[in-house]
Amino acid sequence: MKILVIDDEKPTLSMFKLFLTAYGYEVYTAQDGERGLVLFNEICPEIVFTDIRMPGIDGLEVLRRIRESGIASQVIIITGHGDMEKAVEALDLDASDFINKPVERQALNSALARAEKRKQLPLDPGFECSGKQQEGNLSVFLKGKLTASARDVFSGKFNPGVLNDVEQVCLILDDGFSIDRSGISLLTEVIQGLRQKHIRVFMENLSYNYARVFQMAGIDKIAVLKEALPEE
Amino acid sequence: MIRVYRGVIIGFCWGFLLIFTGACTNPQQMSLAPENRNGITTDEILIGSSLALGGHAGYLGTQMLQGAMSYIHHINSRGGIHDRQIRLIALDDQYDPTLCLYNTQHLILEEQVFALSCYVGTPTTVRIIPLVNEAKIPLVGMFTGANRLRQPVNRYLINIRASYYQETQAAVDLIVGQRGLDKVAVFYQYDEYGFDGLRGTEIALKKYGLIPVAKGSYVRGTLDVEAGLEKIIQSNAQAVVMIGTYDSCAKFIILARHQNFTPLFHNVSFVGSKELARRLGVNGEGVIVTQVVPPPGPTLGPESLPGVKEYVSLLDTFYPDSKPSFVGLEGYLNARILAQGLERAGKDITREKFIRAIESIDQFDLGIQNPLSFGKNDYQGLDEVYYTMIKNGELVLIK
Amino acid sequence: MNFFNDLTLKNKIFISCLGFTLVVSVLIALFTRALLITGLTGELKKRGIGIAQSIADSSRVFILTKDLAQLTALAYDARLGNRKDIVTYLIIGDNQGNILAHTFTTGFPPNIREIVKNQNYEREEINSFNVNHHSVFHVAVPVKEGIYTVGSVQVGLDKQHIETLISKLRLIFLSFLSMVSLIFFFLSHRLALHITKPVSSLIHYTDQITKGNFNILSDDELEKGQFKLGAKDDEITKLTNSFMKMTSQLKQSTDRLKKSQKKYRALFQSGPNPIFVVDKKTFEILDANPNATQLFGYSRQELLGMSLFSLGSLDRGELIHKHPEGETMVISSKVNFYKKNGGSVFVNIHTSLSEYRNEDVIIVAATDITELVEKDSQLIQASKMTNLEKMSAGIAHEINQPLNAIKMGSEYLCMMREKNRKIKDKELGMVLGEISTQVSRAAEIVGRLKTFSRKADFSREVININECVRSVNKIIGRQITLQNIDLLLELDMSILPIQAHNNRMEQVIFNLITNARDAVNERIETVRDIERGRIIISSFSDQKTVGLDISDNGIGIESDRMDLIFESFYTSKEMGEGLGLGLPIIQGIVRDYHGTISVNSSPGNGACFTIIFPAHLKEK
Repeated sequence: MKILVIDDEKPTLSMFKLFLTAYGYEVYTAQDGERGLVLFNEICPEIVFTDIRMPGIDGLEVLRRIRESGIASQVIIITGHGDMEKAVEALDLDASDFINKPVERQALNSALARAEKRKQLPLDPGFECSGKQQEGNLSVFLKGKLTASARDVFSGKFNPGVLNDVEQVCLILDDGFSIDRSGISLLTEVIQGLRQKHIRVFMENLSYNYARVFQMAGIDKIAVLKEALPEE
Repeated sequence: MIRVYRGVIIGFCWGFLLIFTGACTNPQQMSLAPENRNGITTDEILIGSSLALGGHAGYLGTQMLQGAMSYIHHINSRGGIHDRQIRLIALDDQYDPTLCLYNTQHLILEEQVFALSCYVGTPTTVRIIPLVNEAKIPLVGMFTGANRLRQPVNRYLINIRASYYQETQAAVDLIVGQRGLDKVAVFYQYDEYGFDGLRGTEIALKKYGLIPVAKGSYVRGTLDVEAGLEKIIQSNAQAVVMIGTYDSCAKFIILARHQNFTPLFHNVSFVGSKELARRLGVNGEGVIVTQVVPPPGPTLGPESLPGVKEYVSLLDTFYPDSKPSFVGLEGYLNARILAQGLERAGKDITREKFIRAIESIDQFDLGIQNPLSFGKNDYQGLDEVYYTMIKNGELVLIK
Repeated sequence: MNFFNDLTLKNKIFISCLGFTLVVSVLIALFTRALLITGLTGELKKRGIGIAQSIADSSRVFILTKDLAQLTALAYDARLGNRKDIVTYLIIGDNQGNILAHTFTTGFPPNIREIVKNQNYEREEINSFNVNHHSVFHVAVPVKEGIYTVGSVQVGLDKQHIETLISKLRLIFLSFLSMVSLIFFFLSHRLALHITKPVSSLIHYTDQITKGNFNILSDDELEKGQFKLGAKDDEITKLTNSFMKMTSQLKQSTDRLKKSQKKYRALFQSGPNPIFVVDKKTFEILDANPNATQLFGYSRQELLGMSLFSLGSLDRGELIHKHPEGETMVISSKVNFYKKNGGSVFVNIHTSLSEYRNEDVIIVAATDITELVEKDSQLIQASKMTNLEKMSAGIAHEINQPLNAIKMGSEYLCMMREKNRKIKDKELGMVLGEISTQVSRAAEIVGRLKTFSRKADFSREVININECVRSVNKIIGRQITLQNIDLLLELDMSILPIQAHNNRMEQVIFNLITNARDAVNERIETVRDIERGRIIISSFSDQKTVGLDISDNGIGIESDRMDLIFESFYTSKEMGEGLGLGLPIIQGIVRDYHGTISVNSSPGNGACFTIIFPAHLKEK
């Protein structure tokens, strides 16, 4: 499997190369966005790591161009500290995942895993959710991509009638769950609605990077976030 | 600074004072010479006189001297004055001023007389005024009425008779005031005497608003009266005031009468009335002569004045050959005043004392009706004028 | 002459005038008198001879005839009228010396006979005799018939007549003299007074003024320039008027002087700034105002006599060389002075030359700016922190890079070890090397940050401005590049050093660069101009100055805002992005180092900020 790493930092590139080679990938590196895109078109890699901040064509631009090229690739954005705004923007462009610098092994593994899993999924998965009530505990499974268009489906699960006896709600995310900016707004809205009814909200099986995104959106203040255990 | 300034001022003041005193110191240091006692001895008082004892005016001097001497003899015979005999030295000057001057100098310097007296005639007397002044010698009694001897007032010139001014004044008063005649002519002797009379007449006429209608004159010592007469006849004068001597005046009147010119002829005392009357004879009728003394003379009546009587008697005693006359009476009066002055001056007599004594004579009765007065600045004794008219060759006092 | 010299001017004039007049008058009088006496005597003698001759002519015939009466009459005629005054006596004698006629009436003088006898009969003779206490000229004229003398006429001419005339003249002259003297006495008195009274008045006034008493004249009089001295329009009046004007001016200026002295004394005493009066040569403190004693904690007595330099680190050279006459100037700013208790005080030193108790002094005002300096420093620090905050993202990014490499390298090694996988030596070496390199890189970044954020002390150092530019470039150069802006350094390597604080200079450059970057970004965002951003930093210097240009191709500054940009709290940025303290603080710092900052810009064409500092010249 071919992986393209685009970063303006030479040491980073060489480390990535070490790691990914050790994981058995075929690793290509490029030192800036332009050369990366040229290389991308040449080799059509399945997975692309791109640094978000680069002189010249930056990470988001690379992502955008990759999406425009129509070649299905899982693009993982390498973000730095405080680049969450840009990360959310990248989500809108259907980035697979984020990986935060300094890159931890677990995060790398997780991102690779998600990327590989998403590669299996259809290109545009619809949103699904199913609920299961057990005494005062309502568990809701979320699957596919949550966007504003899924409002009816998602908020329908929390009709006033349904929540009479509910004391806590547990939102369980599927591994292939993804979300964009409007999805985050919707999610926040729903959780706040629940909080007004003095219902505690838990979110489970959050990927490492989504946990960062939600934290940034302030969801961690209204709901308890539980990260998925990293796979080995 | 002020002190210096003051000092300067005071210095200047003193300077001026000194200069002024020096300037004012009279250089004519009039050292008062010891009182002149000339002519005074223990028993004698010398009196000098220069008068015409000869010549054409010799009559006047002789008469004058006899009149005076008769009284002096009288006094001396009675022991003199303060035991001093009066001795009168008389020198003849011929009515000549030069001789008179010479005589007077001789009297003063050589004879060393005490005083002068009994001078006769205007030109003669006037000539010696400088000597009198210089010698400071009193001159008492002059037979002249000349104004020069009276004006300016001179304390050494003691006049007894009235002046020609007074006589001419009287004449004009008579002619114009009493007789109402306003055409007055003047006939005068061309000398001091004549001028004096002329001036007096003119002054008197002026008081009546008149001037002489004609003036005729003759030279002293001549009888050249014709020219003057002619001028006066031409003027048709009603009266003629005549200031001259008896000879010329008589000739004038006689010639006038011969030409049927018969104005009022008026003579003054100096003319010598007796002689005039004698010379005129019949032609003298109506001629008027003013007199300064009352008329003496043989026509003396019992009503005659005491002074005149004494004169006549004394003259008769000492000069039996002589007849009393106006001039003699004057001489007599002069001697009386002289004696009175010597008497009053006291024994210790000086000229100064004598003059003061004369000044003290006041309202002195000479027995001629009119009293005599002198005084300080008044050395004119008698002021009265007597009018006399020739009637039948005699002088008659008219009122 | 000493007496004269001792006199007052008035008396000198007075006495001189009077003396001169008197002397001239006396001389005139004496001269005229002598002339008159000579003339009169001559005239008298002539008249005497004339009289004698006329008498001689008349008397000839009478002498021959010895007519004494006629001769006497003739003799007396000679004394008639006025002649009496001249002719004291007249004697006519014969040729034998006998007296024929004479004019003596009161007595014959004893000596006259002798005189007459001794007379020479042949010719005219004039002798002086004394007869009867009278001084006479005895004039003898011979009487001749044919060629033989028959007699003589001798006339005594009374000198007294002349003397009377002369005494009258003398009286007239003396009266004249006295009048003249009196008139001149008063005239010269008046004149002297007229001249000297104004003068003595002037002297009086001058004395008073010398004593400093200006109140002898009322202000009114002074203004009108009149006081009654008597003179109307002469030199004295002009002198007086000039004097009045002078006095008026003097009084005014003295009043002004007094007022200003009072004012300055008050300022000195109550002025908020510590003021020292310092000797120009020794720099010894001669006086200090209460504020100085209060600020430095010394008593006044302790301060007096101290050297100004013992109070603080004042540059002696500056104080000596920079004092233009009459001008107040800032000699040094932010000079560190020490209190008695050792405390530090920052002062601005202003000096001006002056005179104090007749000595040349320097008035040194030491304005206490400690608080200001501290505030300034706090403000600068705050601004720096703001900058740091702004930088933090970039810094974080930058520091993340090495961290990332290290992390990945170390994770790799860990992973390999956990999986018991063999690590190739080459890889291991590469990883370890990279880790070490990246640690150093991180440390360097941290170090730079530390330097940047450090609060600078106040001691100036000699720095090269290029170094500052380089170090700023290290901090933000990369960030600028990341924002697609070219940062070009065109540094003149031969520039002179300046005296400043490194840290502060960096801050200045940092601010200017970030401003330039913002301007470039603003252009790109607002105008959508795709032209690449560019910031050029160039340094330059000449003999005396060192300068730095920071130019950009950003949005530029509109001309009406050009003046506003250096004002505090003016900002072009949106609320929250800046306090508007950037440029004012920069300007403050630049000025601290006696530098200037200027900007040249037009909208759309970018801006160029130029800062110029005086070069630090090598110590002499």
